[in-house]
Amino acid sequence: MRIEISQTDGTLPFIDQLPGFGIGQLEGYNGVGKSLTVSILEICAGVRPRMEKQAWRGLCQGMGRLTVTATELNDVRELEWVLDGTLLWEATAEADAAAPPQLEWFVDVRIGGRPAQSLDDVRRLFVVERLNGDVGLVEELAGRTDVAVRELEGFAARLLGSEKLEHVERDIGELNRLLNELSAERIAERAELAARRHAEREAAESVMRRAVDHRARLEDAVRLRARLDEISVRGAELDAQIAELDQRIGLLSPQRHQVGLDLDAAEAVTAQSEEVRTELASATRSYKNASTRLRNVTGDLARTSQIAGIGDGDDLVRQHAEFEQELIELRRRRLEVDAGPAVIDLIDLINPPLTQGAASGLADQPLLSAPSRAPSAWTVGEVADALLRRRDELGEIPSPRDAQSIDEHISALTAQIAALRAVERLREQRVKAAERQNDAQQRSRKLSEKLDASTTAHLDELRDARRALDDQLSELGGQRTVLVYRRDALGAPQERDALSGQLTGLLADLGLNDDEVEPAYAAALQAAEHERDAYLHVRDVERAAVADHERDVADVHRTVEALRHAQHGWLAAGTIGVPLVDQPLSEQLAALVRLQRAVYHADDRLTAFRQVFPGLRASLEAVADQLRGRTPKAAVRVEEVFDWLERDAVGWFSDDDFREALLGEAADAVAVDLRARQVSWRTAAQERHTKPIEALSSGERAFAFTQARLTLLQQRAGSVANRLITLDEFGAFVSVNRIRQLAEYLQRWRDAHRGDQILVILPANQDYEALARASDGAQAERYTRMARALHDREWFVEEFDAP
Amino acid sequence: MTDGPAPSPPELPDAAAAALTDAERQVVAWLQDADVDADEIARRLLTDADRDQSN
Repeated sequence: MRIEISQTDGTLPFIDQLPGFGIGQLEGYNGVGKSLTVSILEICAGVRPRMEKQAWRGLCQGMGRLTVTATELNDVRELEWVLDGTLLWEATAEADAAAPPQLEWFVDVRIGGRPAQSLDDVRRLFVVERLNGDVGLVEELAGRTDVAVRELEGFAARLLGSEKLEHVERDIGELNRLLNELSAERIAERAELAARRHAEREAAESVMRRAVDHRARLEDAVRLRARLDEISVRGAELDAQIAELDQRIGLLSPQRHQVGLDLDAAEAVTAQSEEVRTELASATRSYKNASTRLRNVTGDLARTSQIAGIGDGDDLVRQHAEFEQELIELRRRRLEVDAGPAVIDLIDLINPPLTQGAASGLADQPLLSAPSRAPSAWTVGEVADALLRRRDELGEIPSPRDAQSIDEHISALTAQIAALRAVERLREQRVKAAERQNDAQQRSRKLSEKLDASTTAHLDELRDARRALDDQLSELGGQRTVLVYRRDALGAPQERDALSGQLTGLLADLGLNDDEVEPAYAAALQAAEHERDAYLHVRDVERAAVADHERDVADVHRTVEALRHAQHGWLAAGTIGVPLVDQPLSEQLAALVRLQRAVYHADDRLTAFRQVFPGLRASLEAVADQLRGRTPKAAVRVEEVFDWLERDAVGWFSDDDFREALLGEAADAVAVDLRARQVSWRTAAQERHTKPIEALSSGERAFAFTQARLTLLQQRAGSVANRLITLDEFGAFVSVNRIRQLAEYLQRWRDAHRGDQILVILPANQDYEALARASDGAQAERYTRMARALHDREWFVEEFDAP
Repeated sequence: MTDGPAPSPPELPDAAAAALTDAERQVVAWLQDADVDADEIARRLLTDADRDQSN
């Protein structure tokens, strides 16, 4: 290969031309840019030269703008790099010293005239290997870790930056986020809690129902005792009053009958014509009908007034207003004590059309919208279901005793109001019946006036007596109706034995004596209310637990559905079981827990994987520092790196040339202990030898070590099309009498590696003019050319030829 | 003469190959295997994790 470097604006010198000698010799005075040129070529080859930061800064600031062109290459026509010192410094000032060159470090890089897409493409085509004569075996090993760091950086950058890894992390990360929102353990706990609360609620309900039942039975006992008492005491009083009335009615009835007969007879005697008799008979029938009607209405009015709880002269309008007001108040108190029945009435009013709408295709349509609440929208079907559920809940709660009492009161008052309305009607009917009776009386009187005047007074007298008796009988009949009504309300006398039997059986069941009923009832009232309150509390607690559980179930359902979503579709084909939508909750949870744990573990593995490479790099640097006698930073894989480097070093010795050059012929079983910095091997005499590593590359071993390092290049030669191997600073370490030996060795190397070009860099310390004078022919011309070049530009490149 | 060979997948450097654990090397191998796509790697990670959990 042929390399040319053109420079503008720079202050540092560079060798501007390296001809394509198989083995070249660059010789020049100090400061002409021999080593700097190799450093520039290393950068072009994608390797950062080994130099301290200060030296790097000096190189960048002094290089100016360089155009490096390589031609006469294998596999590619031309490579070209344009470097700018200012740009290079800006790109690398903050970069790690071990960071390999990037395309951004260059103004331009071209492969075959086209812009390079990646510096790796250049690395595969062009390699620069620099062997420094002042580098010993330990430094070579340390340098090996430097190379390893660069290799690792390049590898890690490509691997960790790959879309494939990001895709894997996205898969696992998204799954992790989805499952992270779900605490399977908490859900299982809350499911168990909901079941426990349900059992507690059922137990509390059972206790409450027993207490309410006990109260009801005692209530029955109390009621039976009261009724028996009424039948015994009050019933006897009423019977006596009824008997007294019957006696009075019994006295008046014959009188009334006799007056009727007397009146009929008197009218018959007095009437002179059949026509008058007929009219009188008709008037009498009308009177009787009106009288009967009046008596009946009077009875009904008396009974209804009794039901309405009013007296004969009470103001109905005022009484009605009072009853209505009282009813409003009772209903208000009823709501305060227990609004359940009112809410049930409301649900029964509004739910039928909702249920019907849901059944006819509106079930999934949004019905309620409340953006500030959760959930923010309810469908027709959800509202209908929720209302029915609420109705069932309300139906399960027994009313408090106060509410029952108020209900009874409302019921009685409602009956009173109805009775009051009937009283109003009956009063009007009584007035009309009285009027008709009066009319019939008047009609009879007028007919009498047409008869014999002498009998008129007698007939009037009889009729007045009849009227008076009828009025009395009507009044007594009304009183009797009320008494009979009250007596009937107590129950028939024959019921007494039956009620007494019931009470006896009930008290036996309750295990109570008659005198214990009242205190037991008081205690049962209190106990029932207490158990009802306890039940309501437990039910509220259960409801909260069930609500949590139902939310959890919805969350699990959503998660299971989401796992089947396209975003996680890759999981469905996996070996980890994904929970099924129709599985029981416990099985879904078990599957989710298993998946969750696997995802956490896989996520941790990926996170750790990303951290492996920085950690390994730190370990490599720590080992390099340790080998160079610096204090290493703490790192985690130092032992592994030492083991690797020792194996690597042992691998060098497996090469016969390398091993023979450094340890002598027949050396084998080489072992390297980098921590002790020793190499041991077995000699031909089967003896074990041990030497410090440094001793293998110092002093008279320097040439041997150079051979050894070239051997190493062979090991990692790979398939690079174009390689430039530079041997720098060798003059000071390889003694003159060994240069020829080196030349022969390099020629053999070159013969075996035709893609390699070797450049031996030597200080200008030969007197070529003297050598020219002592030579003749082509050799003299060569020495003369070298002497002139050194004189003119202080350096030259010629084919390598040891003097 | 060409303008350069086609890019090849990166090879695990020797030092890394020696210092990584089997599990770490396995992930590298999956990432480098053109026949194993990202979803398959995610599944294999879960399978490994599940197996480790049950052991």
